[in-house]
Amino acid sequence: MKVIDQFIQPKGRGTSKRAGATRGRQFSVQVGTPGPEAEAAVRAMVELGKRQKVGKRLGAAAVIKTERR
Amino acid sequence: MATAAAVVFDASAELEVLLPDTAARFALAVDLLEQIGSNKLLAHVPLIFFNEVAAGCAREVRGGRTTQADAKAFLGRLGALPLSLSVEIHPAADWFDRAIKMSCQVAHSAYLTLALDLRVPIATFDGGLATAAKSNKARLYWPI
Repeated sequence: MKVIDQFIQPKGRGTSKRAGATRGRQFSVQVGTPGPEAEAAVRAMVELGKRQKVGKRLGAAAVIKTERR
Repeated sequence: MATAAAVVFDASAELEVLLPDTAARFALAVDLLEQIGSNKLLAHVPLIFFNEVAAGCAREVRGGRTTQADAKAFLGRLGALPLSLSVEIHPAADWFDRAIKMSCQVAHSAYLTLALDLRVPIATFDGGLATAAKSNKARLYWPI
């Protein structure tokens, strides 16, 4: 895990008139590493998904909607 | 589909791979995941992303939709996916103000702000987030 921009005060966030602008602190962290390990992880996740039943009522969108309610 | 070298990756898009809504959405989510895994697309996520993915998996395990073993394997593999995790530290009042200004849920505002700041589209299957994105002039990676 690599810290990209440690505790950078986002420019303009405190003064921007754009909706959503806020005060605060933000930094980015790189998780995972591109390469064969990541590609193998994707293949494994896809294989897991192929074993599941497809169903709108029980699917990802419904789950997230419920979680965010 | 929007052309983008970077995207804000919503938890609904990640969960679609384990909990498919439809075959078409599953195919879209797989394509996105493959692009992220092969470093063709940089995926940005807010801090709540991991909580939401874990919460979604836990809910579906409790509901019997998937097994604990599959959910654990899926979440374990997620750790190898290259993601740019954006950590925002704000007072609760600022999160509140932002959600009110954007007329959306606080969780949506975390994704929306990231997309607007970085000027990249959002990959989501959540209709609420898609609606909020449209009303706040954020781009969507997929039309839903």
